[in-house]
Amino acid sequence: MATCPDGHQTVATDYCDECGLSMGGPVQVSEPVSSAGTGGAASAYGSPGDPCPNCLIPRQAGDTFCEACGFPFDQEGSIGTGVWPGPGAGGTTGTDPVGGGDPVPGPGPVGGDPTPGPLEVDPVFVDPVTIDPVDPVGAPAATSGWIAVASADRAYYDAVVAEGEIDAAAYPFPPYCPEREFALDGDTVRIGRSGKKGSVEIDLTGPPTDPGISHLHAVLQRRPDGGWSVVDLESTNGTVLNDDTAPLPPNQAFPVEAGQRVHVGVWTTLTLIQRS
Amino acid sequence: MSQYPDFAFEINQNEYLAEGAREVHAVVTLTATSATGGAAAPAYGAPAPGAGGEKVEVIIIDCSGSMDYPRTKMMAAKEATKVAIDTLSDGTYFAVVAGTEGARVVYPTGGHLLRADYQSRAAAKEAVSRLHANGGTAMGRWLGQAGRIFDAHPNAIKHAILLTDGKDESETPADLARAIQASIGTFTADCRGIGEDWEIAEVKKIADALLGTVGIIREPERLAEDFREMTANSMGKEVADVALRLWTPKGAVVRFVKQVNPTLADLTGKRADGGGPLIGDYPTGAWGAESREYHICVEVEPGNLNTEKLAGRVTLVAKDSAGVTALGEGKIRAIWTNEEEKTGRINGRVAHYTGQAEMAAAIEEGAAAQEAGDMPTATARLGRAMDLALESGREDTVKMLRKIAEVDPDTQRVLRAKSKSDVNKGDVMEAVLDSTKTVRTNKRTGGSGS
Repeated sequence: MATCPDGHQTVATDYCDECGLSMGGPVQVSEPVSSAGTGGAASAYGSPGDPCPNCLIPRQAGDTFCEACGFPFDQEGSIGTGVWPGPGAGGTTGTDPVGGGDPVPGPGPVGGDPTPGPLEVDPVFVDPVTIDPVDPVGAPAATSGWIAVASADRAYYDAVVAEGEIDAAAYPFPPYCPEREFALDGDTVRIGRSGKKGSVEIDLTGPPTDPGISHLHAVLQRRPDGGWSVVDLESTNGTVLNDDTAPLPPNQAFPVEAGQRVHVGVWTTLTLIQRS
Repeated sequence: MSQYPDFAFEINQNEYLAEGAREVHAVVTLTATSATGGAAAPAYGAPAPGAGGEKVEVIIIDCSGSMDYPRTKMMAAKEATKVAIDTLSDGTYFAVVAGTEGARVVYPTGGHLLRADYQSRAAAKEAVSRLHANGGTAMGRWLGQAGRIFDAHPNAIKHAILLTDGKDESETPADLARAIQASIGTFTADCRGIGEDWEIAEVKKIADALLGTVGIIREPERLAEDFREMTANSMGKEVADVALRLWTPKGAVVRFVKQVNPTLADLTGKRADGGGPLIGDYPTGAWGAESREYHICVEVEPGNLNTEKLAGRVTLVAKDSAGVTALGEGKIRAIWTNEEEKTGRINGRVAHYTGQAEMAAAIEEGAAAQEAGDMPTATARLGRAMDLALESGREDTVKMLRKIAEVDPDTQRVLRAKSKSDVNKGDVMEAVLDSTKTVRTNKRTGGSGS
């Protein structure tokens, strides 16, 4: 974000997003007749403030990759081919979740109960988890050394398509999705998309946005032995472990060991890694 | 997934405004070059796999009884439809609809479309041969039938050719309006009227809403070539749904967004939400390798002297099953200054298109007044149109105006409009429709720059 000379906050850095005032210093003395603004070829995306061809977020000065979606600006040949939906500056998205409409159809997790402490160990059968959806992340516990790496998983996506669950043309695999690391701090790490149901620690909003991830999709819970379990929170499209094809039954904790994978949405995989 | 064309933006404007001035004009030239690198349209008789993704073409032919009076109209329509079928690229899905007080799909008969190849073309042409004229005219129903055909191919580039010879007598204007509304955004259509008995205003409602052109065919033998050209043009499209996305600053008012070349089309009323309160999307339909120009006028809050503001950010966005893709950007700027020699200029291209638009409006109003018997208004408007035509070197328009008005043999200026009974209706229609086509350069002065 930058501030324009009139005091507005603006994402674009060439002219203010709100009032249009030039952010570029003294007025240019240019050819009064025509100025060519090119798009599509060669150095068209070379100026700060120009929208990323993929997600429309204005480019920051000095960037060779889009900070929002990772599109590489120096690969001119790929302009126009990066076509996955992104929110962008004013862009519209076609990313309704596969189930259609709001991704959490049933009653959401009930608020009010305090965040549960360490669970009794029973990997198969646990009381339904209650989580206050509005509660912001509490005081950070000591870093556990665990992280979850979120990535776009081609193999998982292909399996989803092969199962006939989605139409590949309607929900294409994103060509550019940088891996992201999330530290697993505290005892409860929520997975989903921050928004009207509150915030989540592992926020997979993107761009690129996986259309099959619910706002409150699943939660990772720390086990007394320091390891982790995953609980699906009645997400619309389910949570799948490792090489399973069937989604987990909701509201039950399943252990996830280091190196194992949690699949959510259409193409997202979270890999648990323990760093000593 | 289809490749998008490459778009180049050119902005023509005088960005210098006097202190306190608010109105900014710019002509945006968009030139698309084919992603596949070759010429867009296949040659007649040698269909090649088309550019772009899946395509659906529906040819709607008026089969009302009047098409047999004279018979040359029906014969020409059948011949032209066969030419269009031969011009389709291999693999294009297509259908032929006979339009009467209802609409019948004469080809294919199985309920789902087939791709164009040797067999399907032969079968279709055979079905066309058996067309005969009998019935009324309800263009809304023709559009409805086309819409149902297109429904099965939601992600294709969808285009219709509509030919009529008469008025929309078999339904109410409300029926037609409803059918047009339901078709907007689903497919585009180019319309042609054969003979003189049809209503320009009616057909223009369809073409304007569906982002296409209207043309008149006065000599039936010319229809085939027109159909060939329309079909070839359609085959060259590479991306279906492209919008001109315009951001303007807070407090600004978009006065108009008009396509000015190759034809005039006012897009101002078609603004749709572009994803933010300051952003609007104006539909421009399908694009192949081509170039178009748009005249945009924005009224902005004046800036302080010697400051610069962005009056408009123009992006082209393609919307398809993959989401929204930006295809390029141009900036409309505004700089406030005291220097009169800078602010006093009008950009040549802006002036040129302002004149062309005024000329078209003057012809339309003059023709309407002439039809209504209001000779003073007709003379004034056609006179103004002639002055603009002479100024811009539009010899074609000058010739057409001479057929519907008395002109001074030396200056060519209009002395008086001819009375309705003295003019050929076809000449008037031709003059009105021709003025919606524009030229890029002022043929008199030779250039369009200031």
